[in-house]
Amino acid sequence: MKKWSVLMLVLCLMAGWFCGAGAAEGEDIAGAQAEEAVVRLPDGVLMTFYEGTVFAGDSMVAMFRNYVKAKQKDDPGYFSGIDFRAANSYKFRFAAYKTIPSGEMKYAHITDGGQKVTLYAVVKKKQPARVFILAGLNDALTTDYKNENGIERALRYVRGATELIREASPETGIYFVSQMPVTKNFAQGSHNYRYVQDRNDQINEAILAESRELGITLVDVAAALKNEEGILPSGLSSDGKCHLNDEGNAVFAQVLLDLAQAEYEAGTWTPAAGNAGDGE
Amino acid sequence: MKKIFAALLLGALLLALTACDNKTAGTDAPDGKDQTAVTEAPAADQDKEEPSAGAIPVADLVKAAAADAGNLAPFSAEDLADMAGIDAADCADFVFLQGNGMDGREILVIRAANREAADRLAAQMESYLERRKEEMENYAPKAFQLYSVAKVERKNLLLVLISGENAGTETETILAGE
Repeated sequence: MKKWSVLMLVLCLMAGWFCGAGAAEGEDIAGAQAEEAVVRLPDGVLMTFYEGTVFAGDSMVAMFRNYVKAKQKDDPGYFSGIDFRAANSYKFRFAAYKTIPSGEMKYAHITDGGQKVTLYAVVKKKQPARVFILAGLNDALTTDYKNENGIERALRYVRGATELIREASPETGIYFVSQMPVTKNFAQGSHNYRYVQDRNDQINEAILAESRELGITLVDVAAALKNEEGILPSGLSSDGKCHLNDEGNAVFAQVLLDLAQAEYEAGTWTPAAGNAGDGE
Repeated sequence: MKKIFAALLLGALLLALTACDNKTAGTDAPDGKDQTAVTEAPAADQDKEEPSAGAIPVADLVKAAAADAGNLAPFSAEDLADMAGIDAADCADFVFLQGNGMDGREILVIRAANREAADRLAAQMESYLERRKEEMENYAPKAFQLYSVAKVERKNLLLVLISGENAGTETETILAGE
């Protein structure tokens, strides 16, 4: 009898051990599935999100473009799908023009085929998958003008640009990059850095508030660049004022990768079959 | 008589061999290229319609002239078309480099596909330079200053536009290498 009791006890212990092992295995599978649900795609795959993208903007875009081109020496696929169109002093206003009005700062418009053109013309010609617009600081610095403040005016141009892009290429996704932060050394006329930074923040908030209604996305590069004081740390700036150095542009690039990942997770973008990675 | 004939024959043979050797030395340049062709090139260049097969690659000319060339951002034929309106078909070879985009550093060197293309490129590069100046004026004073003194220089089919602190010397070095 004792022997039978010992045998039963051993069997129970073994059964318990097997059950426990099975449960642990089940938990591992569930954990793996949960992990799989939020898998981070490799950077090379995330960059394919930008194939067929036109990226228009001011000197910030020109400098990011040159940062990307320099990186392409070692990695030819580095954001290679982006067609940059940059012009110093590019403004939201310009993105809202169908044609360049006579007398308008022609030099500050983007270029195509060696000619100054509007974003509307480029989008109509290229029918890009996505358009990104970074109008830099220029809109924030204009204050009240003809009874319309700078924020209202910036929003009006954002709406106008959105309408024109839709007209030129209805399927194109529209992304506005946030107004970029400035350092403590930044000053413009009588405005100090705090005024400009506050104005930038207000414009970003206003665009974000309207983004759902307009069907556009605000890409908040500014948030990733700011320090605890809510401004650009001088260590990320090439001129100590507002333009980004390589470290700052690396943050910019990371935000673009994170955006692609967010679109993937939201189910609004799926990498092409040949580009699908296994995660990192 | 036989001895004299043999000596004459030997002399003739030696002369023939020496002549052969001289001809071989003329074609075996240190770099394996036909030295005759290289030395004749400058004279032929004055009227040539197309670049010679042995022309030094533009990238090598630029590398030899500009110490920072390897650190600059390289631009593609598509960029050249979008930014300067230049058709890649007009270019037998080109290098298009910029600094960080706001520092006024830029190198654009093109070997034209033919004389007609070179004329066209010269005008397009002049227009491009004017646009760069306008873009930098009242925006980036240092860059504007550099673009303001920059020039489009040409030697035969080679066109050079350089903006930077040492633009003059770099341009001279590149043109001298052509």
